[in-house]
Amino acid sequence: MTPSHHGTPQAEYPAHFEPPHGPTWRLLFGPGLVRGGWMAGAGFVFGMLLVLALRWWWSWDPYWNTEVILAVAGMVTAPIGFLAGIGSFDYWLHYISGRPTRPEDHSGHGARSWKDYFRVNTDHKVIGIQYLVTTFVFFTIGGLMAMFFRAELAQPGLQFVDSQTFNGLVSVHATLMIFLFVIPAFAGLANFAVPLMLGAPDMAFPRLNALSFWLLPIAGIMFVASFLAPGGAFGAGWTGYAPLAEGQPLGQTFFNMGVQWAGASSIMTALNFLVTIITMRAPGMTFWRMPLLVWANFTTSLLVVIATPFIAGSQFFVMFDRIMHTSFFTPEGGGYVLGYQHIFWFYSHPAVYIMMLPGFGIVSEVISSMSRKPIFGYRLMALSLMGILVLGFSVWAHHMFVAGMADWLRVPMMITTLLIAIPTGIKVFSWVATLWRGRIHLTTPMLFALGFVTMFVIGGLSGIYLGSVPIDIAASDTYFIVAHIHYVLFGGSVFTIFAGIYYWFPKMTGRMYSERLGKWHFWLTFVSFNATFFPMHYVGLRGMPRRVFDYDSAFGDLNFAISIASFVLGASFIVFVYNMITSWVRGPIAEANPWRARTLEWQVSSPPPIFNFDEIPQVVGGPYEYGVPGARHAIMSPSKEAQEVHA
Amino acid sequence: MESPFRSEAAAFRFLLITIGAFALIVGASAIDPALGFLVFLILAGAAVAIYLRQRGPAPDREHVEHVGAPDERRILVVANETVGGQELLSVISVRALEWKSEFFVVCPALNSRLKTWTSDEDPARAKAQARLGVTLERLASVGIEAQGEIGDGDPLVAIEDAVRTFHPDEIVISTHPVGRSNWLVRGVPDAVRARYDVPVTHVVVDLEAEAAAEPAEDA
Amino acid sequence: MTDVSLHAEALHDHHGPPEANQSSRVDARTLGMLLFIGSEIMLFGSFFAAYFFVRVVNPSAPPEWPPEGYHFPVFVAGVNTAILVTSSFTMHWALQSIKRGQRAGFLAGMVLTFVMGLAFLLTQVVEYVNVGFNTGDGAFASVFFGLTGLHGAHVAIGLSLLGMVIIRGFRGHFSPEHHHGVELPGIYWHFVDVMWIVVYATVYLL
Repeated sequence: MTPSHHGTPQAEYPAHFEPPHGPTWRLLFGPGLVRGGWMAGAGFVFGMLLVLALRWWWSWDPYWNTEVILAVAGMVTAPIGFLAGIGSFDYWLHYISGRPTRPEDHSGHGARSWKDYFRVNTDHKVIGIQYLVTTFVFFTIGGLMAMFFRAELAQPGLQFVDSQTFNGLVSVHATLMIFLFVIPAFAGLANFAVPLMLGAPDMAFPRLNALSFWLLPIAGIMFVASFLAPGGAFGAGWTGYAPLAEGQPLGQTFFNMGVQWAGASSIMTALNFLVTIITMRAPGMTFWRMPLLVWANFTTSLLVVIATPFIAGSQFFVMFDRIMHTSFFTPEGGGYVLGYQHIFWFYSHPAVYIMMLPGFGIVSEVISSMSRKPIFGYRLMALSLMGILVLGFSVWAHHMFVAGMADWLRVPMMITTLLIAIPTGIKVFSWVATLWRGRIHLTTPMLFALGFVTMFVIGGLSGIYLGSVPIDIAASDTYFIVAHIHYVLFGGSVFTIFAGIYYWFPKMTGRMYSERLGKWHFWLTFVSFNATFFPMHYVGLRGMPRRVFDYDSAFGDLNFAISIASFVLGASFIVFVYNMITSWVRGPIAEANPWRARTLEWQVSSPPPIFNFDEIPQVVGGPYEYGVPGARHAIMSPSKEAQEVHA
Repeated sequence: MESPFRSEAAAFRFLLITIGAFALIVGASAIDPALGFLVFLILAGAAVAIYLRQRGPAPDREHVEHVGAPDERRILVVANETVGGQELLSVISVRALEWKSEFFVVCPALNSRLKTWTSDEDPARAKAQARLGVTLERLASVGIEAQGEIGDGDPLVAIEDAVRTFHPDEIVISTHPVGRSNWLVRGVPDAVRARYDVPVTHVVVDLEAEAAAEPAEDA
Repeated sequence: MTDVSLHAEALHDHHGPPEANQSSRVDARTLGMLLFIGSEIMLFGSFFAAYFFVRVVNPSAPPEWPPEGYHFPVFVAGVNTAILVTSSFTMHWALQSIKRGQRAGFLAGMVLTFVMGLAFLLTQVVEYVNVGFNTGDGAFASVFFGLTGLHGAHVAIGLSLLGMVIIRGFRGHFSPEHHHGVELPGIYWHFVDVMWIVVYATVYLL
């Protein structure tokens, strides 16, 4: 590049850029959220006109059908318009048109200001942070819904909302937490950490990565917007069983379609991870030298690619039954009602592993580095992940023990369900053995990791109970299930998400969070979490059903206590948010490797350079050899010398 | 039969095979549905079996860049339990005399199959470290200053690491005679020859024969 | 001082990322297409599961297939099968041509493939109009339209990919050295064809 002359326009734009338009033009017509907004509107209008035209042509009276128009215009063409508007298709459209290839200028890569986080960015580090912030927004919304219905449940009877709204709150809470929080938050953490851990400059398909992120807010808005639909939000639970889902008002379509967008996002990300992990590892990084977070995301991504299409199928069938009057699940037409549950749970059971395996990976990283010890039984830890992957496909019908399915299927499913405890148990024993005689540092990530191990064991034990058919028959659809779910999802997944965020916070932001506030957050969360969910085991076994807005007055006192505890749990989250914001804005500058960890992301600056590495590192050993004499994980090249520049 | 996804030609071949297979299945089902299902199972099983047995194309040999002055020669010595061997020592000494050589010794931390999969590496590492120490001492005793490191438990991986960081011009691999070699060591010299374009010398050291041939030398 | 650092940053940015190590002999884009096809196969799997439930598992499943009162346009679908299989041959021919540098053969093959794919879709639309039953006519019809419709959607996706190749091909983009952009849509098109064989056999013949 020739020495530039300051002040002349040509100096600021490399030769292959077109002459810039004015700022107003660029704001309205250049890729970005503003253009995304009006193109979403244009997409909606286009979809509406398309539906009207086709219905007129085929003489389907009445031409105006709100559900069809909303499904097509609002949930297909408007989001596509939005995505086109923000610029996620720009490169591909240019490619398709066949014009000469534009040389890559990396203008869409990296974050130099806060604005870069609000546009289509191809940098995996930026995308990771976009995911994390977005998922926590939905965590907040879902959590507020939970506190709302906990307020309703504090006393018997209906005080604040009607039954349909209550069902909507419960359903949207779960849907947001699963599809808009746990699954994508892990994707975000992995997006940030995995390419760095592999010694790669970015993911295999950075533009696809950017698109995957932007699909997510679309799904979230769809779920939340269902409250505005006539008839209220979808109220058939996050499980959306037919035939109930087929008779629900319009809000149910928001669920059907939102799941498709979230599923598409998930599949694209998983595909990206698989290709990255298989084809972009640093030299010398064999599979047996990958950090366990990478192994965890590898197995999770396999689960996503194989299983997620099944939930897409199940929602397609419900939509077809609702809109096109097909009979996939309507017995009058010869449909098989239970088929919904089989198809749905064939995804949704692996989904719970999708929601847990990355957490296992995070915990392995945190426990190893914070105990200064190699992970005990590293190869078996990796193999146990693969074991859970395989076995996870064989247990789906344990959600259907009382659904009226063929009796002979119950015992085999019980056996496979109990078998999954073996690889999971290997992991728990391994973490404990890693801690044994380690030099333990009880930092906030470590506290959450240790909290995870204990809470997940409790959740796993209730899972073992539920895996046996006789107990499940008694406990199904009671609060015992709610307790189990939240011990494994909150005490399990959410704790690991917090652990991961605290652990990688210095790497992501270049600043250190407040350890004091972090510990307050942990203890408040840990105590109030147990106070909220432990009593549910008892209440459930005593007979209180789940998903009910009213209950026997005998359960009143416990429900009141649970609700109060849940408000404290909600309040504890404020400590976290305050910590994150203030530390990011004015926390102490963090060094490259505050945890003295050995994996590759800690061998570069905090935050990492825009393309991660000056030169790809050479990996010569495993990532966890703390205290092993002479062991090295990788040889980093010395950083490039500062170049001579002419003023 | 190549994986149908590796290339378009492979996918096309897969299509033709599928047409034939389904013609068979449909035909068999017309006779009897159970027969059709059986044909399907057999064909599916055969497809899986053939796919699992096929090997991809062999990778090209990798060129190892010469590093350092043109008259310098870097020699990578891969030694496991055989470091005490006389054969190996003489092979190394010959090279030390012939060129301005730099030696790097890698001792793979060879381990049993069970201990490899249970990640029980510490005893193996300690043994490899001891072997390395003995080797470097013996080399020093004949005037060769060598560097060394213990390597991965898989000798091939250990060699790959060393080649990437040391850039040798020649590789000397010493093993036990066939039959007494560790489960991973068999086939290593051939694999290394196929992998890199540098000369590979395989020294077979029979420690038992050597011990028998030198009666009480150091007694 | 600020000037120098701005310069240095600009220079560094212009260098771009270090080239990632290729840790597998499988090409990344081919692997991506493989995984995408894998997820599409699973989507078809869910539709086949619905078919299995309706035809086999349901206690009130019809004893014969097609059930009483419905009949299949097996012949029309058979013609469609011939069209689609032929289009795979022309696709293969197109790719062989570009590998040998014969642009005329390549472009002719691509256009023929596209036209035949379009013919397949149009024939399917005509078949739908004349089949004698609608989506609302019971589980059998649902499964029929579901499976064939899902397949038709994939043909449409395939046609879009082929269209992109044709546009870029006519603009001079491919060569014997660089034809990966044809290879991948080719793999996808053959997958669509394989899927049709399975759908046709399952729904119409078996």
